[in-house]
Amino acid sequence: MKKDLMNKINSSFLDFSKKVNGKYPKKFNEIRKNAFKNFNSLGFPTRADEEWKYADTSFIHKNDFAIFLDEEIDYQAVSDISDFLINGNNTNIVVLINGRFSEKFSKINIEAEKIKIGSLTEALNYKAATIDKHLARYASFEKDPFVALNTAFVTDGCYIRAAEGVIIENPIHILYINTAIENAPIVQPRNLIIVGECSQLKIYETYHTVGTKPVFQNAVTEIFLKRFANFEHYKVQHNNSNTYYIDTTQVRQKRASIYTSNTFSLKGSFQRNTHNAYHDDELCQSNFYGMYYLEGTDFADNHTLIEHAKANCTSNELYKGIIDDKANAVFNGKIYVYKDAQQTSAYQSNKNILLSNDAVINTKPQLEIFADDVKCSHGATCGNLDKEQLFYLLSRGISEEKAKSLLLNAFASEIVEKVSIAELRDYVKKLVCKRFETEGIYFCEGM
Amino acid sequence: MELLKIENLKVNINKKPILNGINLTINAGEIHAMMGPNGSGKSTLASVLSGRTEFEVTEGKVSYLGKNLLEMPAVDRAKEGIFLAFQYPVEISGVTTANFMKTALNEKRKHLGLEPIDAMDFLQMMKEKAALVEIKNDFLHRSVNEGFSGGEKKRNEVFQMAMLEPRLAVLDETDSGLDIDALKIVANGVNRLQSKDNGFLVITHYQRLLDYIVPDFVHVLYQGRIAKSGPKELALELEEKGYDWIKKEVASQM
Repeated sequence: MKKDLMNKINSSFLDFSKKVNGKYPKKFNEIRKNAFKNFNSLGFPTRADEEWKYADTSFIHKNDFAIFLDEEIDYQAVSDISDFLINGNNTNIVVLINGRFSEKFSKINIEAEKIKIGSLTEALNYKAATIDKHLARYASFEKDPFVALNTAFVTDGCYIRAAEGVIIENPIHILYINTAIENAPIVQPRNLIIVGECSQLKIYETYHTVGTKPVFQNAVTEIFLKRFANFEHYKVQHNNSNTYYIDTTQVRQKRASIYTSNTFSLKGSFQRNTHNAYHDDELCQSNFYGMYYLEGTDFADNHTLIEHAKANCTSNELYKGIIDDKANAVFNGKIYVYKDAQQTSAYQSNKNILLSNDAVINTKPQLEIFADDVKCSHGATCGNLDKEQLFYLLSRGISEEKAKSLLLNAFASEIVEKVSIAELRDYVKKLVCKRFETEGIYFCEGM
Repeated sequence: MELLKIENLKVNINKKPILNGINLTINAGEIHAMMGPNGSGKSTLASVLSGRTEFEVTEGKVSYLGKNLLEMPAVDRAKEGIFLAFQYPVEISGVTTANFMKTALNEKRKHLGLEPIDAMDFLQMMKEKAALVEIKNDFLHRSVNEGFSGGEKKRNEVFQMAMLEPRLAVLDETDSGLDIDALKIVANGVNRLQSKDNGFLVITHYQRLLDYIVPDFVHVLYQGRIAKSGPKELALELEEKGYDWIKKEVASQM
């Protein structure tokens, strides 16, 4: 079975190469070939790989996945996107159908001189020099098989480039819609986001599937923040059980830039977020927040890496998880402080509440510090709800069921309240509160 | 009217006897003060009444409004009108006091067969009760007890008591850690809530609180028994002489 998929991918790569050779810049075709070579030698990971120890990737081989070329995509399957929109009046929408930028559904309301938003393939041709400077320069296709696979097959995705000194007030919604009506596709969006000096930008990503066949989305996003740039990045994963996501985000930060991410994994049989930031100059700040609320046999795996390569940078990391039934979560937070990165402040915390005996969390803080003048801390907790808090609520006449929901609500709200986009915050609250509704919680309206 | 009747109550913690036969009756309209040296069992008594489960009742009966209290889970006791002001109120990050009280009040109303309280009425009620213990409005919209000083936490307990209007309130060392101003505020809150229909059990170390909350009865708990009961003057005597003479009295009776 395993060999079948590797063979299929190899023959897809030959077809794909024939098609794109000469079409893309030559230099980039070299990168693609190298990436594919790496993918072939790395192969798909198994549990023997330290980075995938707690993730069951057998879905890759159990389903009849294949990579499809442009002309094989059923774009017609997507006729209406209104159900997938979040109620924001002035939000800019970028729709990617099976990883391809959709002119038809995307809607941008910002002047082009402030920000360029469009298809990566298009940009590969008319902005070749810029793309060449950034694309495949940050996300490592040498070590990570999924980045290698994505890089080998780069077809399209979203290209965003904010000019210098612009504040983009209205967020950009990147909407991934995958069609899986006849076949089970491997979908590989590739995004490149560049934020100019002193500019501010907010993006959120959501994910949807049309059709009932399985989907494997292997996305890679590279982000380059110039000096003093400020970028907020949200992901809300609320997927159907037949979709599998592996999402790699690699951020490169220049002097005094601020990157803030908030990743919600609320539903889905396989959600892996590999989320990395690299400080390429001093005074950078990275804030990594996340929440996973899993039930049934859901799985979410957050692997983060913050590389403090230069002095005087800060990172704050807080991931919280609620795990019920037989759900399974992984948190692996690595902080790497280079020898010259003096005066680094790095804080990391991962807190988990397990609601059933079969729920599983594997949490692993990893601090590797080679500088000697730094402030770093980490902590991980997992347990049940606090008994004293629960009794306090009971002693005021609040039923156990409601008391539990109230406490879970409170636990989650610390992360939810960090969302600065009102429409998105409400959307996340609604998804979280849906869980409580079954337990008769009415106060979510005021959460 | 009899609110609470405790008969020969004996309680163990980890097989160790803590209460050794308590007898106490509290009628509506009465304030009882429970005093006694450290380790005499005061807080254990409060905990048992509130429905904590880490105790083993080995003997005795407790009835509340004619019902067997020991068979009622904590949440039902609260709905039926028992309130415990905690010695160490718990901080709950992410739950505002307003939300907490609205939830608790509506649970109680549901229990009584009433509709949930109207939002405007609730706000008005909260405002009035907060004024009673001089709590600022913005406190109510902050997480329960989070970052509150000791005095603020205790005032919040009395505020909650005012909101839930219990029949029987047990105050577990509500005066500990309070400065004199906070003490007056807390005592004033209790006095204003006191009526002919409800009863109070005020557990305290010091006579000081009883300058402001005037009890009908004072009991001294020692070695898990009520060693002495008397009128409010007993508290003054204890303040003056300490607990040693009670200890001697108990020893001479053995």
